[in-house]
Amino acid sequence: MGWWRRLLRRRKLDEELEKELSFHLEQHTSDLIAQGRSPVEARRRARLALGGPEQVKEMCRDARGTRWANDLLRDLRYGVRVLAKRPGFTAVAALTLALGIGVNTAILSVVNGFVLRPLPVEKPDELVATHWGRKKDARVWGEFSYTNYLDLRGQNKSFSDLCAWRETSAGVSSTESRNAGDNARAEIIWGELVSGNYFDVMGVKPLLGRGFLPEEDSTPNTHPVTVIGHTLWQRRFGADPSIVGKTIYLNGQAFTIVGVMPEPFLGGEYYLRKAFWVPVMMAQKFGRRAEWRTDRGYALWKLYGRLKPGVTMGQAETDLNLVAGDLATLYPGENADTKIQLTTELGGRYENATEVIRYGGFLALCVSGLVLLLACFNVANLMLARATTRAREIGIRLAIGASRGRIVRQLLTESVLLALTGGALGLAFAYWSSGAVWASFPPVPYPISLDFAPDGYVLKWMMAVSLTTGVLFGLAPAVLASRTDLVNVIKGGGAKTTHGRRRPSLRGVLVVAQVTISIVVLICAGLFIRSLREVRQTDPGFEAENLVTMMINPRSLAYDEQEATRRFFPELLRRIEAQPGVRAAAMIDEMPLAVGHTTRGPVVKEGELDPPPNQGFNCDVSLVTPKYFDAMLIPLVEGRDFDDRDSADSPRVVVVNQEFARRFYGGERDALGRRFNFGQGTPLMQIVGVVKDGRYRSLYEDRLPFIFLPLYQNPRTAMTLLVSAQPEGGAQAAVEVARREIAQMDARLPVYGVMVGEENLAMAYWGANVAAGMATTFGLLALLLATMGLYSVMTYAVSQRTREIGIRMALGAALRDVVRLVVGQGMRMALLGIALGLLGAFALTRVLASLLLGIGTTDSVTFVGVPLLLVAVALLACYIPARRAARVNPLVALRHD
Amino acid sequence: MVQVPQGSLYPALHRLENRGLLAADWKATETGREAKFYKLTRKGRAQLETETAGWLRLAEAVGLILKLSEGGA
Repeated sequence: MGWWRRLLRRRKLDEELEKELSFHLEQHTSDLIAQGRSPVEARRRARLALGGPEQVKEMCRDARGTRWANDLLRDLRYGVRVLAKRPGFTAVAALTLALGIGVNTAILSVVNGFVLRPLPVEKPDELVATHWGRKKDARVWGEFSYTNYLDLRGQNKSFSDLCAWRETSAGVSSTESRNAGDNARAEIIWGELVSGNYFDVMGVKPLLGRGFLPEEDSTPNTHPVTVIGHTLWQRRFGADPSIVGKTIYLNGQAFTIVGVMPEPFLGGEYYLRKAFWVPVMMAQKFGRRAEWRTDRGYALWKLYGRLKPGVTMGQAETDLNLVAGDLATLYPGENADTKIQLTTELGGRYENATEVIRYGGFLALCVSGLVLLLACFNVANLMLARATTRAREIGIRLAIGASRGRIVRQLLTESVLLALTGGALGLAFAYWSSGAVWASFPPVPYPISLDFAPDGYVLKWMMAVSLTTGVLFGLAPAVLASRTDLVNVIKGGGAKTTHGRRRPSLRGVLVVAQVTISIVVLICAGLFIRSLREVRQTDPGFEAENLVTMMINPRSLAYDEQEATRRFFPELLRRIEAQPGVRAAAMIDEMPLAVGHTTRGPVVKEGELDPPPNQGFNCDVSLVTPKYFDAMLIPLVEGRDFDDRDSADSPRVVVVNQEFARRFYGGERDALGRRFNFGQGTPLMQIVGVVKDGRYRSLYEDRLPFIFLPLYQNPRTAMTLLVSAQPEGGAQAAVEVARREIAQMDARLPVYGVMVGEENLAMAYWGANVAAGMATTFGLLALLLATMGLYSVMTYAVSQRTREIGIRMALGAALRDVVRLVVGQGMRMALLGIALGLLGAFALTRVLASLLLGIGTTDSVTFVGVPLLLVAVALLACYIPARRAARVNPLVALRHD
Repeated sequence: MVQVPQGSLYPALHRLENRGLLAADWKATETGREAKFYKLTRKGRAQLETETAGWLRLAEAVGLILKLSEGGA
């Protein structure tokens, strides 16, 4: 009979045992009678031989191996009853834990979404990513040229296979003609250029059709075939089951669909959702120079591979570096001084994450851990108070023979039950908040595929955390309760003899710890909130109201840079500006405070010599059309804006910001008319205008020198179109105007990343908003928990001292004295906790200083305000129980025990 | 030489049954009463054989050692 059946058929087994033993007794008795004993004597001897029947039965039950489970079930049932009997206590405790566990689960879910959730490929933890770089760099993240990839793939001995891929975007449309009026269906989708073995290395099988064939991976531009993603298939083709063999237009060229990928597969990056895959051989169609296949310096490709069985990462890295060493000797021009590093795809994510994200995540986990600890302390306090009121029940159990271990187990079961309830509620909270984090994401022109919903991994952790907290807050109270002084309890004296007066009580220690932790959390939160408010008040340097931006890239439709900048863009801007409701239209390559930025340099003033390599100053730069400053409402301080005079054939010109003018020429006026270049014989550019400083990379930055180059002298096709609407017309109308005019020029051209008004700043403020939101949440939680803790402890302390207070009052103590007594007791703990917390906060903020940009760590308002707030809250939490104590009628109090 | 107290017999039987070394059946005895009959399972027999072999080996080894020490003494 299996263990489970033994557990579940307990009653039947007990009956059988009874029957078996009574059969044994009777058989033995009749045997003895047959030997000539009297029946009475025979029965006595048979019983003696067997031993105490109940003991035998108990031993047989032990033999089933189900005792602990039976006990557990009984404890659980009892625990549920006990918790249900005190719904107030249960609700407060479970909610407290739900907050603590929920916050942790939510943070972990977000971290999980970024760095822990594996790709939906075969054996994701064995997928190896390969990185290329210079020997002097500690960590390298570079990509590989195609020729280097082929050599590495062919000459290494460690990989069973190595594939190459690169993300790319493409305009997808339903037509080849530029005049069809079907612009609504033109859109930008993201995909990957992949080597023929990519799907095999990833270990994913197409849902429909096939992957790529060897011939599609060998000759350039000859096989326009594509495998599409599940979402694209559903959305654009209505999940057509006979899709294989049909045509899709990518960047205006017909591609034959040869396969559809299963739904979970989104490509080689965990954060971007890819919708199509095409062979690397079609790279030219996706904006790559024709030399991509032969130029050893044209590093485009990311490599993923699978190791041969038994090969370690270290061996494979050594092996690849040997091959790289050979390549360096053969092709010193491109390959000298290079090295290769390996990470797993999962491991690489964490190392590749920027410091801010890494430390931010770490800090968030630390703080949420502290909040959980706070919640545990609170519940431990509640449990302690309750264990004392349950002293009589426990005393009686002990008196009738329960072991201490058994009592501790019973109480632990209750606390774990409580923790699991809290955990379940916390999970609901985590689901909700992961949705909120997702909703708070700023609009970005990329298909982000991060998933913050708690998954199996998070669930597992959450369970572990719940169980641990259950034990954590349950153990000490349970052990204390099991040490009850039996005699005193049963006499009805209560359990207050358990701790001496001089020793600090566990409750007191818990309260001090709570106040300490909450001070630390609150000061961190306060610093964040104060400094982020300053960030949010930072002037971004331009007006987002009435501003519409959208991205276009005519390169995708085979317009070259000359055609785009000489004809397409000027014509488009002219047409849009002619529309009613439009104040100004212009273009920039990358919007300030958005995702990317470019630098050029070194800056060399006319008449000066080039600095040595890798010294000199590289300046942030943007390419703009005339009227950019007008559209953005950036004031021109000196000189003029670009205009039609500044064409490809006229002298080179440049507009700089005030910081640039000051740093290089000592002043705005002095900079005007001066010339500089980017060294190495690049053309000299004359400064024709100086504009007001703004923020370019982030709101936290110090003043940055910045230069603007005229697009028409520096052609580029991937541009952001800006339309500044007349205030009365509104920005939304301008979106339609721009879309219509673009479609009129070329219906195949997709428009993407449309941002209206303040959305243009969402990315810049996002980090600050999320951090401030989190800091506020954590701070309020900490304050709430600490207040609850202090209040419950004081209430309990007062209830324990009712008699003493009664005596004091009977002896003539005034109401004021009693209040002072109680409040004094509470405030001593609170002040001690505040002092300790301030010390901790000082220490912690030294660490924060290094990772929070532009945030002061000794902000006096926070360091004075938070303790004062806590003092006030603590006073209140002590005063209410004190008032209650003072209203005690001495007569009642003396009769109390 | 060895006497198993009857009280220890049943827990032992139950333990063996739970480990699948014994199988038990409720059958009528010749007197017509229901009783629980135990028999060795195949697994139980195998176990018995290994244990027996092990015991014999041990006994032999102990005997050998005793004899040796007698001879040496």
